Amino acid sequence: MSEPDPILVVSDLNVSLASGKRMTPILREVSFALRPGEILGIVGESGSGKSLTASAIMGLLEPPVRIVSGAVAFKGRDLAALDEKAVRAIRGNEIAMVFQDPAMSLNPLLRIETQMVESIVAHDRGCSRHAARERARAALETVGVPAAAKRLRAYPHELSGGMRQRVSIAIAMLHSPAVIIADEPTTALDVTIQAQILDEMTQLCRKNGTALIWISHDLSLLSSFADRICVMYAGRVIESGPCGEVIGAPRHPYSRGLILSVPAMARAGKDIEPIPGYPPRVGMVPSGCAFRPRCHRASPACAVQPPLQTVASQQSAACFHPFDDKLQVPA
Amino acid sequence: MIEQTDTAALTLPPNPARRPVYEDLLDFLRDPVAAVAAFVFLVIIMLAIAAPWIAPQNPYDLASLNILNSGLPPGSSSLTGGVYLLGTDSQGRDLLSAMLYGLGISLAVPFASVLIALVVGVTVGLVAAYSGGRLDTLLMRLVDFQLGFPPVLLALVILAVSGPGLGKTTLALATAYWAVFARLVRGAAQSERQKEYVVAARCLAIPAHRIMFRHILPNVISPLIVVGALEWGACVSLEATLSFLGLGSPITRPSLGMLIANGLSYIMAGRYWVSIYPGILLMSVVLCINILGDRLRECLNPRFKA
Amino acid sequence: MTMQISATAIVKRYGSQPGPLTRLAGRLNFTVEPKLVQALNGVSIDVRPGEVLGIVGESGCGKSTLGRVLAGLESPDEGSLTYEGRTLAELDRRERKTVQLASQVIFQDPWASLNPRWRIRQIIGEAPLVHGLVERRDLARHVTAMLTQVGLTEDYLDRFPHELSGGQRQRVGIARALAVSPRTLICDESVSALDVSIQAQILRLFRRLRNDLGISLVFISHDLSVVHNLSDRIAVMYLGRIVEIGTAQQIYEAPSHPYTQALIADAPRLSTQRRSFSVIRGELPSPYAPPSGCAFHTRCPKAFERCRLDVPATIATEPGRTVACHLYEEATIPA
Repeated sequence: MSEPDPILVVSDLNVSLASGKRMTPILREVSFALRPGEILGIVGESGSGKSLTASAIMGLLEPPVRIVSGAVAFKGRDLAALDEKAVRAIRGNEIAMVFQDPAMSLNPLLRIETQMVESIVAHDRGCSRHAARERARAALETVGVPAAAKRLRAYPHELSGGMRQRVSIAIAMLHSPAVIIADEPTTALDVTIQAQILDEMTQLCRKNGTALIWISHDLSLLSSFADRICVMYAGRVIESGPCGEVIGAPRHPYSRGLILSVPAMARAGKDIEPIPGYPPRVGMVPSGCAFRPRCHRASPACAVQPPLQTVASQQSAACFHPFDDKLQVPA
Repeated sequence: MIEQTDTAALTLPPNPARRPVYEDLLDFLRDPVAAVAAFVFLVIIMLAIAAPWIAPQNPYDLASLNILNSGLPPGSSSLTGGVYLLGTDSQGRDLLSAMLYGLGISLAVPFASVLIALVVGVTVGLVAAYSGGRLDTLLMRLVDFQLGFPPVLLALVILAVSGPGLGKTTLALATAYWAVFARLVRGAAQSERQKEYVVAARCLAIPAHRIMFRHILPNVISPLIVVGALEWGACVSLEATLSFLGLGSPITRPSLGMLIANGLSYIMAGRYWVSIYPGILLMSVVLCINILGDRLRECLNPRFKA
Repeated sequence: MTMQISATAIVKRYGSQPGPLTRLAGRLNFTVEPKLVQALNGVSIDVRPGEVLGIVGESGCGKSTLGRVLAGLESPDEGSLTYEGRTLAELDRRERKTVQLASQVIFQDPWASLNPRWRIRQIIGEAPLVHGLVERRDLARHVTAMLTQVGLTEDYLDRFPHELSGGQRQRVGIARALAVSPRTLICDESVSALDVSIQAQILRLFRRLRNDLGISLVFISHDLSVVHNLSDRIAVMYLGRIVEIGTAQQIYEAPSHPYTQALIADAPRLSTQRRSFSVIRGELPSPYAPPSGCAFHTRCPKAFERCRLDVPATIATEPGRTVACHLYEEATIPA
């Protein structure tokens, strides 16, 4: 089976925070590729740079944060090199984003209908308002909004958190984007609602061949639906590979520690094995391997940043002392 | 095992040293308008404090006045040989001296009343917010009632009944302004009261007065400082208004407002200086306080910061 | 066995009864937003000495309210509470204070739960000093001992909260509670706001405190996997009621109530294989207008006619295990 060409390639992306003349790097050499229809999970703790990666891809970085070097290539075109107008045409149409807080994409003063119809008409000028309304209703139904016609007339505040998030997903999917970037879209929701939305969204993406980047701090959530997983730490991708491999046989000590920190990994009543210490703050990242001070496998060699290198067929890790055994993970 | 987690937690992240105060001050003065206002205001304050030593004449000493010196234009020589830089008023008083002395009253009386209003308003607001229920309703209706009157009207009525005087003016101004602080503190304290650190203090059975004054108050103080500064400016104007109407400072100790009023009837006679110079000084004072208050708001409110 | 805290048939309402104007508007066919929420609807639960009691449920189920009632921060509208066998009414003022100090809350948000203007020394030292538990000259030693107990050092004494990370702040919050020697810690989503690796550290700390100090923990969370890891017993709540109580093992491996089953099936679980979700459909009903009968019947895959009409009684199916569901009521009727 030949792999299709990637639709989105992020290569050697470096993002820095400029304060005066000082540049504080916050993303370093981030690289990954996304194939059509693939679900990529990006996992990391707060400050790991996972949300920033999404903003960088979407061109949503605001000064003083800016891309220093590297490229984000969508369908072979470098987004960083395009002008503002061209980027805007791609953003929202071909690459859409779903935020943790639906308030980011919904205007509280307008009815759902107005927001959706305007988006449709702006994109497709030939579309009549009546047809646009029909499309909006259909879009809501596909993401599992019951009584869609009635919900269209509602204002965002009249809907529950789960419904609002469904609406913002429907809006993101309106123009059948090739890529959707979802930044913790279910973190604020209840478990049962999260499960419903997750189910509907992944099914839709698989059906339409939409590639999905799902950013989360929750490794157990990602492990149940992602095709591939990137683990980020202190602004770097430190491990990436197919989901089963990364979860079942994590190579990097940090990924392994993260998996062992998941409460379900410890039997009930047994202690969890936590990673010692705290993640570094932005701007105070240790030299060399950033995980070094918390890592019990660290050696003097780790004072130099290990490159992200292939450790198994499709799995790569940035570590000089990677693990090579499997973990006991309940299937 | 346990040791491992414990030593893990030992690593105290290195923290940036606490910002020294002078950096905050430099930050405050970064805005050129604020820097100029701060400079002017500093000069004004120093003039007011130094008045007894630098004023050419003691305007309160009636014996030193000579009616023959009345209404002299700026720059005239006095009978005794001195120069009236800003001229004299209708009683032959050196206007510059009268202004320097009046300046102190115009600043100090409103300052004292804002302080009193702050203490009363903060206490009422904190008690209302913390106790809630009926007491809250009662106190806040009182505040609403008070705010329903324009401050000028309220102060006018009080002074019309009690008669002029510095102490009375101070109290009248405080009465006119405490409600503003009560309302402000109550709003801020109510949102603060919901925060978990206050709930934690309640859970730890910390006495109510301690929670109000030691936990909540320090966390609502920065909007208070800003509003206090701006109210000081408003209070200076109000005091001038009252004195202008003859209700504020007594005739023997005129504030800037009264000086303006004194000169008003002579403006048409061409003796513009008696009103204009105190007027300019009063305007500079209020303007400086407002500019500094606004700048304080910008500096204390993180939302305005870049 | 004397229970640490025992709550019986607790009812707690928030908001107000509709006033005359609102009732009039309702009668005139205007839509009136209901304002009264029954946050707790007859909840009975015991906290045993030295146990970890987990309370799980989704938003609006009343778990936080229950925590606040147990901590003495809210007084219930109906029902009774006893602390070590005694009600508050039997106690004098000093005893009441002792009872109040015996249950301390560990909060969710480590950024809001510490007074931003105070140093760590003051934050931890205030309560013991105010209540005269420690002499002023011994205070520094006491505070340092508390810091050590939660895995911090005396280097933190003169820091301000904003200088610490989330995990460190949460440790300070725990030290503050421990400083008054509580018998029960009520942890309301205490690890939800933390990163996974830090969450694991704090869970471990809680377990150690229970083992070393013998205090009870009431561990409230929406995250079943966290609760399961730490708890001896688990209570599952839905819309103001406890639907099931059992040991952690019983609840996790053989849940009885359909809601518990759904909660476990939908909880994210680490796995190397893809799996599907979503056993139950539908939204959480508004707590302002809870469904009739069993509150879960609108989403329950096993609901039948009776569930719409009657509120199920809480029945014991095994020793130490109760469930409120009509399915089991039928089952226990002797043939």
